Amino acid sequence: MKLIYSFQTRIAGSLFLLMLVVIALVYLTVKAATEASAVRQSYDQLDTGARVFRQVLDERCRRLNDAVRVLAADFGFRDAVASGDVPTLRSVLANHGARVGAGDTYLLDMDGRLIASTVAAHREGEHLPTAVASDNDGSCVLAGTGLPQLRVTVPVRAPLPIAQVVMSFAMDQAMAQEFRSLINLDVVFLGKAALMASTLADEQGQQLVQALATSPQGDDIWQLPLGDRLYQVKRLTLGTVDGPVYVYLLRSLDVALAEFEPLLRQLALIAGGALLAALLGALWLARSLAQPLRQLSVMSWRIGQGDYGVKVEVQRRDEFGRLAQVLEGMRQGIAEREQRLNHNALHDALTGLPNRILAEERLRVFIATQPQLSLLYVGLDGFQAINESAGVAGGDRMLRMVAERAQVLLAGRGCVSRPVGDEFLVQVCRMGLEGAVWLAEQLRLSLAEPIEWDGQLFRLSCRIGVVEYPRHGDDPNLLIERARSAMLDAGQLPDRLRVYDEGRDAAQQRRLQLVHDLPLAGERGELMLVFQPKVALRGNGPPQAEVLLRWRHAELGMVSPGEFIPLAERSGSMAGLTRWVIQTAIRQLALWQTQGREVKVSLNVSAVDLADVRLPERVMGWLDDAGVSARQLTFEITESAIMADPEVAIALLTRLSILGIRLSVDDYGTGQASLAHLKRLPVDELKIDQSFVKELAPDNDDAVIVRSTIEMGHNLGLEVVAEGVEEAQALALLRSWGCDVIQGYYISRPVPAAEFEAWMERQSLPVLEALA
Amino acid sequence: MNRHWVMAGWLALGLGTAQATEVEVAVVDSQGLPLADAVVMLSGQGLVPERKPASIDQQNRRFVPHVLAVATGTAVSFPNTDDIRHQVYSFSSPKRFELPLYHGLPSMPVVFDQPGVVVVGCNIHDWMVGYVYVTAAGRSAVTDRQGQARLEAPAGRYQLALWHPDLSDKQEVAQPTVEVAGTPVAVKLQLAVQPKPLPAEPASTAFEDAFHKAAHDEAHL
Repeated sequence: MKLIYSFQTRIAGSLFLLMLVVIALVYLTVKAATEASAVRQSYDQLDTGARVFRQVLDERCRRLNDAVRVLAADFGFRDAVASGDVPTLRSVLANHGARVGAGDTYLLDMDGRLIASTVAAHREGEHLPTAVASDNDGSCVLAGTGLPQLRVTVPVRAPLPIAQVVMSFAMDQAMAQEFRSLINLDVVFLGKAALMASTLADEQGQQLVQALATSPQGDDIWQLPLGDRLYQVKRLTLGTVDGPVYVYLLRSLDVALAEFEPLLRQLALIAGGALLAALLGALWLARSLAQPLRQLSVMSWRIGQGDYGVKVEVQRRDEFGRLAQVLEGMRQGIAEREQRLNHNALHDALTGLPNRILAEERLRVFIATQPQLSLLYVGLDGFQAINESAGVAGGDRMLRMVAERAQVLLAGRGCVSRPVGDEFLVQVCRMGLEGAVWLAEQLRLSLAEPIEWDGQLFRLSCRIGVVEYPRHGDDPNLLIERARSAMLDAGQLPDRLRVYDEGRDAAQQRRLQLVHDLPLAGERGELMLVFQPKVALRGNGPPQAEVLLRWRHAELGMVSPGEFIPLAERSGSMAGLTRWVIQTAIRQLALWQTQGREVKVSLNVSAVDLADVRLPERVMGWLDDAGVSARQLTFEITESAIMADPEVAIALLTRLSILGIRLSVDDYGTGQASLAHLKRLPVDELKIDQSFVKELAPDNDDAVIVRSTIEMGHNLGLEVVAEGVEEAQALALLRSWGCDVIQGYYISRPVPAAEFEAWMERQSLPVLEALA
Repeated sequence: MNRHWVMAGWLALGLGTAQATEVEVAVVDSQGLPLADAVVMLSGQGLVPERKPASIDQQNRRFVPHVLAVATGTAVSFPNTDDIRHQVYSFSSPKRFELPLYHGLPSMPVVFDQPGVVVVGCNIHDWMVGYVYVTAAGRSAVTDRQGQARLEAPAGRYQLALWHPDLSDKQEVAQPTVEVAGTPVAVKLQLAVQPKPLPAEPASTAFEDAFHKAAHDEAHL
């Protein structure tokens, strides 16, 4: 999982972001508040400064007034004034002005005419306007020719006012500095002609003057950048209406803001710390949440992978602990169920023995670890019959007995398994073929012990196939297949035990190929009919022959009917073969009919064909199409084919018989045809099996059977045919016993149609006479 | 009380000369109200000024009387009946003088030998203002609170003149002549002046009160 998608990262990230937002908001809010506060504070400070400035200025005016008043009350001064001596007065003014630190000093009479002054520019008698500052604020500020002044006018009493003393004080740099030290604000006195007294640096002062000149401010307070600093400026208007005097108070906002800088720095430190703590906390929290999740997910993954061995454990009392407990319960349940499933999947439920899968698995292990081992594949005989007579429960009991006995016999030397149904597989390590054969015999004896069930005694017999590793292969599957194949073959052996033979495989392969190719043989033109002539010994009928099927396989060459007919019967292609044979035979008959020959043929019909209820109609259809008479056809049916399902067979044969087709019982004497059935069959002839005819001699058992069969057939009103006549002696005997028709190599082998035609030509010559 | 005494003196003096006739002058201001502290002067042939000693007392930090009219050459004494010292002075050109801080009666009276207005002050009490009107007129008197002044003169024709400290140009104002012929004459005059209240003594400060109390307590120990 990518770290960025993990639950842990998301939790930690979310918490951290949340804290970041909160802290950032707090920080920004505080910063904004402090800045606003700084500006407001600065504003307040300017306001307060202005009030203080006015108060201090008034106080100063009063003090100056008092000082000048005291001076004017000085007896000597009054004496001098009263004397009217101008040079004396001038020196007195200079002297007393210096005492209170005044600049220009004048003495005026009560009408405002100059009596004396310290300023040389003025003449005595000149009328000077005694401009007095407005009384309302007590200020004595007056605009001067240069810098503004503080001017005090005091009457000289003797004791009535006889003159006025006017003293002025320049509002200069020193005064500005004094105010600055009092109110802690920069102070600028602006006079005429850009003269100014200021506590600002010169450059800033000039900038202020320029700023004021370019944009006169209407507001009381405004902000103004001077130099590299931002100032808040407040203007005070003093003086008279005619001659206003402006005083500017300034406060640097940067300085005000700088006062908050340590606070903001601290706040930033605290915010950073809080953020770090939040990050660590969020990481810890996320980790404590994510770790058990990860643990559980690893455990779940292992369970998913089929690893149930590790106990799911999370030592917590919270939801994760509960989840872990639930998972643990799930793990145990799954483990238990899977073990059971595994056992069921690998064992046979009935006997508890390993099944084929486990047997193969064990075999694989043995092959990997053992130098030699033997397999015994045991197939029970007639288990279906046992099941029928003892019931399914009885069958199950037999199977369990087999498992038990086999295990007792092996006594731990090998293992027994039950691959399928009534088959068992025994694996014995370090045992060669000789040992295996011996063991097989022991096993047979052991199984043959009678078993009682429901009052009956059962004796089990079996077929056993044996293979040996490594002699017969090293693939478990192959070994088992070969053992089974040997077991199947063993059924045909007297001792019912067979060691696997390599050749078996090729035969099996051939069988498979034949089964595969058989349905296609007709289309490929590989099938052909041959005709084996029959000769009637009594009377003179049309030529007869038995139609036989031949298969010339494109790769395998001629395939005998004894090989492919049973395969066809087992693989379900028999019906198709029969149809081909019948149709082809009918076409041949029709052909011969056009040549003016009437031939009677017999052909073989199997048990499978007898189950086909539509066979009669189809045969009739083909006969009608070809214009061939049904009397020309004889169907040969074996006893066993009829006995497979006598009722159906009899019904079908009856219908065929009604259609006019002759019926013949083939291979008579080898099956278990009951005479009762025979009596009910609508058959026309009996065909004595060749095994009785081949070695026929005048006084052997076969002679008795053949002779009595002929007699019995004749007594039942049936024709009797003997096949397999190979010697003249047999022919003579059969003729003497009254056999109706003979067939065999003595007369002719089965031949193709053309040769049969030739034979028929010869037959028209009186050769038979010679035979007879 | 002193004034009555002084006026009794004048009456006795008048009675001494057989032909003396009383002239009663009533002065009103521009509003027609009786005008106090106005100097009423009679001058004419045969009227010789009388130099009678005069004084201006200092009572309760005021000059009493506020206005004193004297004939030229009169010696005026400035007794101090307050319990504090005063330094009486004048820078007026008719008579510049200074009486250094003193208590009781100063050693020498001040002779006013030039006619004119002499404004008298106290160097340590700025509000204390007194006027000595030095005149060459044969008779002079100062109106009382009722604006009344009485003068005695022999029969004859006399020039009346008035002066008041609150006159804007500080110059005496000539009045119609008056005929004195044996019977008392009553003259009613109006002067175009608006009298100003006397300069008030500034309210004593807390500091001064404390100081006075301390000084008083010390004196009684």
